[in-house]
Amino acid sequence: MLLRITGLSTHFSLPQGTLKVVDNLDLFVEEGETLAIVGESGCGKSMTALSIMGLVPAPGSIVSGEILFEGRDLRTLSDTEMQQLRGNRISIIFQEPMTSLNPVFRIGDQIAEGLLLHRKLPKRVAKETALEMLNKVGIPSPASRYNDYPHQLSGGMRQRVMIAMALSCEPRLLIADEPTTALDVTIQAQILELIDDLKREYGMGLILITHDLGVVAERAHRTAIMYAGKIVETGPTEQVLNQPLHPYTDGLLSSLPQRAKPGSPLATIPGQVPSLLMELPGCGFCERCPHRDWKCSTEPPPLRERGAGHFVRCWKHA
Amino acid sequence: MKQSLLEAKNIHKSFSVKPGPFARTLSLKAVNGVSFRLEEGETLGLAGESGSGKSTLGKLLLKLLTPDEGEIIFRGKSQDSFTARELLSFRKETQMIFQDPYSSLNPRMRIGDIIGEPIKIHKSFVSAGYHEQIVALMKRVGLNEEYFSRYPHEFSGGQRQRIGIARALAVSPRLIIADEPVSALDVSIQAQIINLLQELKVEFNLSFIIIAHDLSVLHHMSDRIAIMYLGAIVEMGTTEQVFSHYLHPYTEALLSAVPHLEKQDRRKKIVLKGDIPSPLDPPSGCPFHPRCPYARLEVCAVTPPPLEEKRSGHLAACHFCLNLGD
Repeated sequence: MLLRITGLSTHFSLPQGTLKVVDNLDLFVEEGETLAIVGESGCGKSMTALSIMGLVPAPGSIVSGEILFEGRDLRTLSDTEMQQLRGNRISIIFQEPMTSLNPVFRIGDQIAEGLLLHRKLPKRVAKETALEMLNKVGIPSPASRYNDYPHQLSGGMRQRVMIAMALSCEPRLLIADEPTTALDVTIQAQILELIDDLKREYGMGLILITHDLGVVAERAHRTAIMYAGKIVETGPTEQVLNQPLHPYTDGLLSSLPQRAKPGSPLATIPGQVPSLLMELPGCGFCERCPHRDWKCSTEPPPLRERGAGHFVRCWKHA
Repeated sequence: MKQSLLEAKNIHKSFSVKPGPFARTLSLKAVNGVSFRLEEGETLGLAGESGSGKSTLGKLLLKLLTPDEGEIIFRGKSQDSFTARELLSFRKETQMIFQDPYSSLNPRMRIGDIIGEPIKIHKSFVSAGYHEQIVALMKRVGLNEEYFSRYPHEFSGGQRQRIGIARALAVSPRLIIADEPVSALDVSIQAQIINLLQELKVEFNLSFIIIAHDLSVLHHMSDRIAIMYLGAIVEMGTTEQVFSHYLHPYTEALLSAVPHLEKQDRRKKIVLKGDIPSPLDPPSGCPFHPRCPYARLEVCAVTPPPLEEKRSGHLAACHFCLNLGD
C-alpha cells in the first residue's frame, strides 16, 4: 500500500464558524494505480490533495486522521522532513501552470532546482537530467527551450514543464489536481496520454482530481465521488460509473449531455450544494435527494461495502 | 429562397499586435473569410479551440467589432448601412450571454435593475408595468422574486447565469449569441442551464449561436455545427453530419479527443502533434497541415483548400476529405 488515509478531517476556522472542508475521509492508493477523485467545486477534493502535501492554507488545518505514505504518518513529520518528501517522493501538478511556475526563472533551471535540492546532484548533471526530462515530456528542441521563461510557452507546453518538474525526482505518488481543465481538448488528450505513459514507466501511484467523468472513465482504475467534504461512493471505475449506487453519483451521470438524446431535457439535480458552515446532522445530500427518507436528515449514513471494493454512504444501501 | 435571419459574407478581421516594446507591429488575422447563414429558430454551434477566432466572430456578428472586409446581413439589411434607428433596433433584437457570470454583472447594481436596464434603454415596457415585467422574467428563468433587491455577490454561478439570461431576454430578442454559457459551471448546474436555454428557445422562437469548446454540449443543443480552426470555418453541416459523417481531419481529431463515458462511444484517439500554430505566423497552404496526420505536403502545404459543399448542406475545407468514398 503506497498511501492510506484514515479518518482525515481538515477544518477551516472562520469567524462565522467551522468549515468542515474534508470530513472523516478514508482512501488508499496502490503502487501503479490511478485513483480519481471526482466532485463539484467546493466538495473538498483539492483540500484533500493539499492535506496530503501538508500545504493546507491558513486558517485551515488538519484536525484529525492519519496519512500513511510508505508506512510513515505524514502528520508526524517535521517541516524539514516534509520538505524532503515534497517534490521528491510525492509531487503535485496544479490546474493553472502559469501561476505555479515562477515567471522570472528559466524553465530549465526550475526543473533542475528539485534535482539540486533533493538529489544533491552537481549543477552540470542536474542540467543534463533536466534536459532529459524536457525531452521526455515532449518539448521540441529542449536545448534551446531550457532557457525560455514561462511566458514564452503555450498553456500545453507549460503544463508539460510542470510535469517534467513534478517527475524529475521520480516520485512514488503523483497528485494531479485538474491538470487539463485549463487546456483545449486536443491538448488535454496529449497531456493525459503523457501522464499515463510516464506513470507506467515509473510505476508510480496517481491521484487524478477532476470534475470530468469522461476523463475518469478512460483513465482511472478506481474512483471516489466526493460531496460536501465526504466520500459518498468509491469503487472500481467501471462499477461506479455503470452501476452507481449513490443518488448523487447517479444524478451527476444522468445530467451529462453525453448520455441524453440530443435536444431532450437533461436530468438535473435540484437545488444546490449545502453550505459547509451549517451543522448537517444527517446525510449532506438529503436536501437534493429524490429517495430521501426521514432517517436521512437526522442520522449520518455509514460507508458500507456493496460489491467487491465498492463502497457507498447512503441509507438506501445501509 | 427564404430570407435568413443572419448572414455573414466572407468576413475578415485583423488586429495589430506589438509582441514586444521594440518589435515590429504584426497583423493577427483573428477571423479569416467566414461565411454562413443562420435561419430563424435555428441553433448554430461554433466549436474550436482557444485562439480559433470563435469569440471574435461572435463579437463581429453583434457589431461590437467592425469587420475589415465582408459584410454581415441581418434580416436582409447589411450592418454597414444601418441608420441610427436600425442600429438601435438591432441592439434590441440581438443579445449576448457571457461565459463568466462573475465579471458580466455589475456588482453595484441590484438584480432587478440589472435585468431592467435593457428595458429602460430600449423603452420596451409592457402594459403590466416595469416591476411586474422584471418579476415575470425572474420567475421564468427560475429566480425567486424576493431576489429583486439583492446584489450579484449573493448568488452562485448558476444563479448568476440565470440573471444574465433574464437580462438578455428582457427586450424580446430574435437572436442570442451565447459565448461559452455553461463552461464555468459545475456539471449538475450545467444541465439546469442547458435545459433552460432549450425551453426558452422554443417558447420565444429564438435563434441561437452557441460558442463552446465542449462538443458534447454543442451536440446536445445545436441544429448545425461549424468547426473553426485558425480563424476560418473548416467544416460545417448539420449536427448529425458533423458528428457522424465528418469530413475534415481536424474534426476527426477533435471528436476523438473528447473523453467518453461509454466504451462503445470511444473512438481511436488521434493525438495531434503540437499546438495550434500562432495566428501571427499562420502556416502556408492549409492552416491545419502541420498537425494533420493525412497531409500530403506537395498539395496541402501549398494551396489553401476552399470551403466547399461536399455533400448536401455539408461543407468542408480539405483537399482529401475523409468518409467521402461511397
